[in-house]
Amino acid sequence: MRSLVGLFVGLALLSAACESNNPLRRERRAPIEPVARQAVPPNPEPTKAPPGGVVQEPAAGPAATPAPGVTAERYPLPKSAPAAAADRKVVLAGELKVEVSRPDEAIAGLRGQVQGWGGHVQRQTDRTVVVRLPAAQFDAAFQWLRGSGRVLTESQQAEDATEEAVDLGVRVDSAKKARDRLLAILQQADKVEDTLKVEAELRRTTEDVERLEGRQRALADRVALATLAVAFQPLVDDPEATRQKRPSRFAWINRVGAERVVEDF
Amino acid sequence: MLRALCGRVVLAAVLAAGTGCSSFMRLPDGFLRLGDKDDFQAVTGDDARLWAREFYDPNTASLGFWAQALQHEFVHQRGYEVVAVGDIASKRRTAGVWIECATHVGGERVGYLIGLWVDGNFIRVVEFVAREDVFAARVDAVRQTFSTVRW
Repeated sequence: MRSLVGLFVGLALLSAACESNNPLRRERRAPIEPVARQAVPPNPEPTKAPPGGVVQEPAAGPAATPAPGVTAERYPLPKSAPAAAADRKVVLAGELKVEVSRPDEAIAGLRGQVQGWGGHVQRQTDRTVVVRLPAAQFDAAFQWLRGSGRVLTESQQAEDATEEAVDLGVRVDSAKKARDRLLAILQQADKVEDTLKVEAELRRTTEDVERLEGRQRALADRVALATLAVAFQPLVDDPEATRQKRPSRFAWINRVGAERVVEDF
Repeated sequence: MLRALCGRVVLAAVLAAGTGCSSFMRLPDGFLRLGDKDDFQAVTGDDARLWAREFYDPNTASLGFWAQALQHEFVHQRGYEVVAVGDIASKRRTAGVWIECATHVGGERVGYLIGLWVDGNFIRVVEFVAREDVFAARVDAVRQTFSTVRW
């Protein structure tokens, strides 16, 4: 009889232990404060265990709250590939050195094209022009420039700024929430000393929000508009080098010309 | 190879004939014919250069074709600026074309004038090159002497 009772007690304890290891049960029972719920993005699998089997604990306070984007970063959402690609923040930049017979005309032509593409000239130094143009027109610009002369050097960079954008979003949200909390505290403060302290902290937090939002806007601008630096090199600076690189198909033509008379005379 | 050699022989014969009775072409004032050269070459004291040559090309093309090919090469491949283009006739009434250009050689701005005549597969040219200021002072005189070329 005693052994039968012992068996029941053992089974009951084992069952309780199993329940406490069930992550779904654990999630249901975990205390989630309202702030923490707001911070977590709408993730269909918010507490799904990663491959290592560690479940992310819901935070007890706002400071340790899993922020938007962080969860998504660690446990990628099951988005379709095109949707994920569309969400990517890519900063495009390029440089070109083009040899042209008339740099001034080429620069004027580029300026006109950039306007047509919806971009603008950021600066021009001598024969180097830096333009900003919609990222969607980046390839078209390269295509056009390749046809404007002989490309001497060409480079393109695509910097993935998705993580930076997400991080900035998280920090802006956190700073705004901190500011809201400070405002609430300020309304409840009854001592002058407390009021002054909270106001100082509020100023600092507000500055943080503005600074971070400024960085967000700058990043959005860098993503929206690609930067293209084009240096136009006059072809006449080194006609001999050009001649040797691109000889005429007619041999006799390669033997005439000012440089040939100067050198072969 | 043989045709190229023939071309040089023909040019040598023409130049020899030219120098036999009179010069291959009348030289503008200030030019000196260089006697130690196979081709017709002349210079001035301020280093303006005149050079007459003949080339063979296996492609038989018209004067218009070669003139256009030359201009294309000069402008689009070498960055020359074409200043002016005109027609000429040699002493033997052979139709030709002259092309005047401006360009840089060795970092120096120079003027370049070429007279072009075509006879079947033979292309004949007279070239004049000088530093920009020297060129400007002499180019008209040189262009006029193109009509005295014995081609």
